[in-house]
Amino acid sequence: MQAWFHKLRRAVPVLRLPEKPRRGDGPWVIIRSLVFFVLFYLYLWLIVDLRLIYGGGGAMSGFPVFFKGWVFLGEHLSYPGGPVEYLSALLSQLFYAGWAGAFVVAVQAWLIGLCVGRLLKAMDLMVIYWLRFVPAMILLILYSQYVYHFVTTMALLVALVFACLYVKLARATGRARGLLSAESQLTKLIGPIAFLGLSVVLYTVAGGAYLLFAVLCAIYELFMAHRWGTGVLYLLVAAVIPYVEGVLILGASLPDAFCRLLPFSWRTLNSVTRRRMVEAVYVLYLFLPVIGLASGLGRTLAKTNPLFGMLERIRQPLSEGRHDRRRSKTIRSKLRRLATAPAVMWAVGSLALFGISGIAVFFSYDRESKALLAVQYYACRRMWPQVLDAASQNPDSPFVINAVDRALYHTGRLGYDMLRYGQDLDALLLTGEDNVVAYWHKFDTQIDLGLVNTAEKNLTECVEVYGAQPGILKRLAFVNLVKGDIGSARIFLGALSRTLFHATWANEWLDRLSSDPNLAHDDQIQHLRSVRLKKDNPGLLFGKDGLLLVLLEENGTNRMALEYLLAHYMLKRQLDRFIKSLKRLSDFDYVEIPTLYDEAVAIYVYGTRKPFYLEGYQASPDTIRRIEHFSEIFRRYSGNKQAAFSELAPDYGDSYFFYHIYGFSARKE
Amino acid sequence: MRTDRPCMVTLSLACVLVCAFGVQRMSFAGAISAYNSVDRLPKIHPDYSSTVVPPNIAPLNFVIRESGSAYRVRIHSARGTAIEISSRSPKIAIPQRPWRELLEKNCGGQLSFEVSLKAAGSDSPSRSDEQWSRFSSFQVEIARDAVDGFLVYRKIQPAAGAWGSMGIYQRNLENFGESLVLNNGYLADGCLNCHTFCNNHTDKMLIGIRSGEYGSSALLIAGDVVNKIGTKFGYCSWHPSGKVVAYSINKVTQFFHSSRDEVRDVIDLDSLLAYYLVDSQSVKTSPSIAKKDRLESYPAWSADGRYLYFCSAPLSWKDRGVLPEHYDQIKYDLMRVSYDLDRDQWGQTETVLSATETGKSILLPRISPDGRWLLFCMCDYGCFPVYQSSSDLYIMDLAAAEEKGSYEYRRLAINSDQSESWHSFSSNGRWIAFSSKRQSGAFTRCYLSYIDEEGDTYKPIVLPQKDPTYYDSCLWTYSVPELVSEPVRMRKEKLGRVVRGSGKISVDMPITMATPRAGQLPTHEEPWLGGRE
Repeated sequence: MQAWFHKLRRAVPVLRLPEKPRRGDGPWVIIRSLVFFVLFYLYLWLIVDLRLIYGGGGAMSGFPVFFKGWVFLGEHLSYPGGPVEYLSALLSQLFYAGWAGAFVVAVQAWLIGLCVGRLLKAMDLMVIYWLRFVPAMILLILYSQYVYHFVTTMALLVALVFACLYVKLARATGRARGLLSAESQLTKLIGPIAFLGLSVVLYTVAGGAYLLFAVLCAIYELFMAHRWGTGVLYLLVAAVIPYVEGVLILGASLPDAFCRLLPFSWRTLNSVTRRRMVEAVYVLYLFLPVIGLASGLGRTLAKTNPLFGMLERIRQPLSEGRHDRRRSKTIRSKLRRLATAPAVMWAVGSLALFGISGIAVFFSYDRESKALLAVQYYACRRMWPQVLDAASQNPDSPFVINAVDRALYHTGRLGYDMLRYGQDLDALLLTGEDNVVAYWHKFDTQIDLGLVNTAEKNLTECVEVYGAQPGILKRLAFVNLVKGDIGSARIFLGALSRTLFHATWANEWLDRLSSDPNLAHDDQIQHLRSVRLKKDNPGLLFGKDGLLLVLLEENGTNRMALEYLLAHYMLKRQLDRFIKSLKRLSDFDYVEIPTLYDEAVAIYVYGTRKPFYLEGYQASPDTIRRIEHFSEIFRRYSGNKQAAFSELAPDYGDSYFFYHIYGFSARKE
Repeated sequence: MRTDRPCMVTLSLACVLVCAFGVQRMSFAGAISAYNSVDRLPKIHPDYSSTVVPPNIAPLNFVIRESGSAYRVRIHSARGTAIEISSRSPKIAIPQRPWRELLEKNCGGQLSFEVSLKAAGSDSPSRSDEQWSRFSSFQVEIARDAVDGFLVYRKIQPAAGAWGSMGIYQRNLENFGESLVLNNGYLADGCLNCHTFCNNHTDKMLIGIRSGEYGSSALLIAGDVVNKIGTKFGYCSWHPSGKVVAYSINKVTQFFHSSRDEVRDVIDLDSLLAYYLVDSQSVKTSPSIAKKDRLESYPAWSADGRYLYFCSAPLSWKDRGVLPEHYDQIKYDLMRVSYDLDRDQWGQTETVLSATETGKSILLPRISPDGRWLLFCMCDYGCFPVYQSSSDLYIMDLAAAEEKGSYEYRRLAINSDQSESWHSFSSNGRWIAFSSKRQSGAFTRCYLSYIDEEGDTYKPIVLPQKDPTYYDSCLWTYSVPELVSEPVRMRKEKLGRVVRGSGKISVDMPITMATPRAGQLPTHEEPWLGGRE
């Protein structure tokens, strides 16, 4: 057993420590760290793009809102963990600019790593010093998955900083003890007093994350300093502080007093979107205590059990290894020496670090989530080309299809290119049963159409689910301006004026309201007032084509309602209704009939043998040629849809001929 | 010595700054020798002019909505020292102690507010006096009758279907202190509703709870003891003896309007009244208050406890699961039924005021502590006045009705063109608190209004806030304001622990109700059906 153990130590250089205990990281190690975190930052900024997480786009809840002023601050100072939540809310607003958000996260990851490194050193675990990069890797994975746990990780960071502070204090006290020939009572008490002081402050600042600090301090005392009584006392204090300070003084509920800001909190676990990837945050919180405990127990057991003793010697410095090397002058020993050379170890370590990080990123990077968030991000800002571009990464999501249809409408391409993208009848207005609570993705389409009340309903529900996000407040102000409820609009604008990045927009609107209270000179407001649904019928809100028909009946110039109605009938393959509604086209200034409409008319005319009359309309010769060619191919396969698919899809996959036969489009990549 | 130097420097700097600020302040606060008179009232917000205020109300801070570079406000009355405030900001913060002294010394008198401002852009000290303008002063009446010291209300978001953040808070009306009674964080999300007090005291209190995790229940607080009653209480009313709680059970459905100003609406597809006997810990109902063909709701005991007033509408549609087509024709009558507490016996139901007579739906009856006044809402239709902009407050003189044998009512002068609802009396009957959407259609705020011996009400004041612009960006809706004479002292964690705990008073529904089968209480746990302001 002994021989095997020595072989193991010689074979695995990483299990050894340098000869001399390091005072700090050497320049190459620092350079490696620097490169790592610079790449970390660039990845988050340029690839992940944290702007997409800002506001969440309806895909995540829990992204905090932040308001300027004492009231908001005061609210956060009234409960344990409030200050960290306040700080996190403030820093999270920087996600608004991708580069700033990435910087914040990179600094957070670096600081966590720094603290972990310090604590590993304090636990005399230099052999696994490289583990300090694990939190950063976990954060990379989290952000690659587009989940938001920033508040919890901020609480973790604060707890780790306090733990480092405690260790530093405890060591300084230890040195002081060493200098004094006899331990005074005072020096004995410095540690516990510091612990208590730090506990009170940290609990107020970071809530339940305090428990991590307490456990780390207890582990340090139990296994590093071997002050058993003190360690046990700390664990007891950890159980008491949340109750006394949290429940009795600050009035928190018992679950919140112990768990707030921990990943185990009901506030995280009760929400489907917030508990995504929460296991990774568990690892962040647990890995230091587990390592500390395992190492401490190992050392304790080593004193009594020879097997544990051998394992314990893994940690011992390389000086013993050098003794071995002196004995042997063989090639093997030279190779071994080479393998343990600092430069080689640095290179191997760097390769491992970047390799593992690269693999983690490669496997965790969630393109579909990114596409969904990007589509939502651009759609909210009416950046239509970018919407269509981003949609290609997640074309089947109903939310993406919904945004694509809206983008196509606003670029005048719905009647041309609708079938170049995946389509789904329920995605057009997000009306399906699965979309009952898809509030976020609905409201912009509804506002554009004139369904102001429906949009308001969804927006207010969004406030409840996602918080008073600036994007929602903007729209709530807007719909209330359209409705003429200026009092409510002013309140939403007033709230917006207390945000960091949307105050200018809000103040401009408030100024406009002062000079033009009814916004009689605002074209957009006037347009939306003109297309706004006027018929009040609760049953209408659950209709699809009925709703669009009412919009058109009330205002024949509601072009979006017409195009959506036509799209609805086309997707439902109700050509008789389509043809009936198509006659409204003459009320608008279409230069030509869009291709897909033309194809639908052709199918109708060919299928029913009924003529179609529309002022100024003539079937396009190209459409006639195409439908004849399509029919010819189809007939060649004796009407066998499956057999004809491969020949029809390349040329006609985005045509209405194809959709009408197959019920879906063979969209082009 | 070296170490003391930074401290000394800092201290000296601080002294210089304080002195400089003081000198600047003193020169600024000096008397204005000349000013231009402006022959109109200043625009202030909230508008407190010509209101009647309680002698124990917190300072009525306000913001002057006039453009100026400096502002002065002088508040004075017949007795006591005038309060003079100088400010470069239009926000006027009235110091609490002088304010309280002024109010105490002038109970039943009048406060005058003189507002002056220095024209914007005229900062030159030499000519400063010449550029001051003084507006016509406005007055505020100080009532002789104090309002109860505390107001308990629920803060909720405009939509509450998903049980987002909500809580019951209490506000000290004599200052700006607000504290939490209970929020849904104590029950891992869920809904809190309809806090109800017995005789304006907090020693007997009920809070309705709906929670996905802990079920529906009602918290009954009696002194230092909290019990969880294992059934859902809707709208509640304490019998003045504190021995009985009448409550409604409502099958609530929310629906949405496609075009009306208020998007949300609510209908009770079914409802009835029941009552809880505190001593025997049992629930009962009676055919008088739970008719199969009626929807009963909003119970309210008379001051002597001999009558239970409530609202009732005919159940005129067959399919109870869906919104009836004629939902906008459902109107509630105001009924009452006698009750003998000693014998636990109900008498005959009688109609106090019918919807046919008024043409409106009569809701939320509340009776003044002296038993004379019945305050209620009327709106175009339905059961939920907060969602009806047509909802106004009305009053009925019950004492006069006893004499004349007919019930007469009148609309209060304090109504606005938006919804008024959730009214309650103070313990002395001289103040009413109510929710109103007069500032905006989306958010309710709490208002206080004086009500005199003749039942006349006076221009209300919005619940004062330390920051007078607070409501301009406040996204909370304030509802169910209840005036109480002392704060709720029960610790919130204790309340939360009882909700989370398994111990409860189990109650069985003993007799057939309007629609549910015997022994089975209706449960409506879907959050999106339950959220109401």
